[in-house]
Amino acid sequence: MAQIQLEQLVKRYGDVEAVRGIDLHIPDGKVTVLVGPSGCGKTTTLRLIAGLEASTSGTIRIGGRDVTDDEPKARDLAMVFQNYALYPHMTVRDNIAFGLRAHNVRGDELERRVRAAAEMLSVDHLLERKPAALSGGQQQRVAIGRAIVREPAAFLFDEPLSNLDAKLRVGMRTEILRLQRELGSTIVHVTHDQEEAMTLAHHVVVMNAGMIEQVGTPAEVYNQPATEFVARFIGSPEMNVFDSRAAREVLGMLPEIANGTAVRVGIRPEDVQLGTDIAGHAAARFMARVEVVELLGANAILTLRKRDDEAMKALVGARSLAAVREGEDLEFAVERTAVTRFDGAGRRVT
Amino acid sequence: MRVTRRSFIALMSLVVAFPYVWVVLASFKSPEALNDPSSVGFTPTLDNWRNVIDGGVLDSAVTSIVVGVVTVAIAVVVGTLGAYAISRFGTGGVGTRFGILLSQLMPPAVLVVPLFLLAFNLNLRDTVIAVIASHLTFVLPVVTWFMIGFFDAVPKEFEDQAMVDGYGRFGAFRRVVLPQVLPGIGAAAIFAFVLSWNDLFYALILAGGNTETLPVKIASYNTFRGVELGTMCAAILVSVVPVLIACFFVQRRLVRGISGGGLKY
Repeated sequence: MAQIQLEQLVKRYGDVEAVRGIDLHIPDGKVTVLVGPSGCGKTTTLRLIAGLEASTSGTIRIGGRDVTDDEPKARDLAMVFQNYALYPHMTVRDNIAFGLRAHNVRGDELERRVRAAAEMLSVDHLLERKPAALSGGQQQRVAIGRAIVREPAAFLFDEPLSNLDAKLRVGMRTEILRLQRELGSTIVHVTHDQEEAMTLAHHVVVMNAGMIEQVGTPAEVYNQPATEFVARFIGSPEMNVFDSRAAREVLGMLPEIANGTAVRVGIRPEDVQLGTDIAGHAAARFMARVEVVELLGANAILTLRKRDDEAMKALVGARSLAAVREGEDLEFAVERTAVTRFDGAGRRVT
Repeated sequence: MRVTRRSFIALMSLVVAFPYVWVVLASFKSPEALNDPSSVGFTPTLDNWRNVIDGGVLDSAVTSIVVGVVTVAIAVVVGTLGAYAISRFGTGGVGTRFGILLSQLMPPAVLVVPLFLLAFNLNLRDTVIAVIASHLTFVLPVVTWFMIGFFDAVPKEFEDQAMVDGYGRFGAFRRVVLPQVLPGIGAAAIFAFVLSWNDLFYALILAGGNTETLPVKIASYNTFRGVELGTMCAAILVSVVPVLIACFFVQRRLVRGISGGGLKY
């Protein structure tokens, strides 16, 4: 396994700058997740690391070695694609063995490693089948098996879970984590799903418009978002963000934080609670109408409206719902410490 | 509704099949029976088939096969690689992608004079080489165009995966992409062979003598003494039947290739 280093990496397609000079250290033996909305440059970054795209400028090092101008085959990486890219004319066995054959592994050694990878992913009973005869989840496993059998310097995952249904996705997520712990692999995982990023990553890299907004542990990007973009992108339901006027006028709260440099304030939905659930005067209190209640099970998302143009979300425990009816005006409260402030450029003010 | 549609299809099939049936019957008729439109029944004769076998039709068929096979072999190798470049890398731009068939709009008469002069100056007149070269002018663009659709249908990730897994661009093409488009290559080859096999114009002008192809031979039954219709019909059958059989086996892929859709994976 190896660490990966990106230095001032730029990729231009004509006039469009897909990756705009990023610096990133991807540590050895950890899962690093690149997350961001579509078109933010995360997949391009992954393809640059793989060597499937040539960088416009900048340097890529894998295990300390400069591979910027190397062909993909010389980089010793394995990749899993969104559509799995299993070769339809080969059996599962040949698919898994493909990369090994390319590296001149033959005979017993080949057979042993294919079987070990297949067993690790519980696809050893499918070795003689063609990909078309497998379910989505099985194809996914074979694709991962094909990657791990090579024992490469690092794994690159390009949204490999997005074609699976919700239940399988959660299962495969756990599976990837288990394999990573077992093999101690370096994994670079690309996703647009912030929940997947939070659960899989040792390090989350939030990207936007070809640049890195923040690098940090899942807890860091959630609790101390560097920018308003990160704050809104990470977390579901999305963070409530108001300008200071709305915070003051609509919520009738927290005028003191609206002074100074902060021009926008953000409140996580789980920090907006029913007034009766928060005691004491440490909280800012306000009245709002409950427009919609969406029950999730243990929790419920409430859509609140104070004035016509200002809605906000609250995430409350299902136990507190007894007193809540759609269309009613209720008192809500926010702890002062739960408020995140942003300056005019969208950076968090500490 | 369904009955109407079926009877319509049946009627159309009859219209299409009628000339073939007529040709088959004519190949067993004597000249007298052929020249008497009022006669319905006739005594079958094998004279026409004897003329075909003794008259060198089979030799011409062999020439046609040689021309067709060599033309197809060159067109498939060059056309497949060209189509891959156009499909993957946009070689030649959009103009090439869609303009590649423009040569088909040109009347063959435009090309045949320069080709004839070229063959004459190179001492290649009346050789299969001249015929093959002329056939490539229309077979190669068709094969290329045909294959572009098949390459478009192969996901790019297959090659990306193979390249990350340890092969270069050509290795990935050969091991992963080529096997996916083999059915397309087969269909293109047969389509190309038929184009070459059926060509009369170039073959007649560039090699009308010793290296007669089958269509040229068939045309030669239109003699100064009149048309030897019975023998001509037998020779036509020699020409048509192999093509019919080949098309029957690849008809679905042929339609897909011609409609440019490629195969779905």
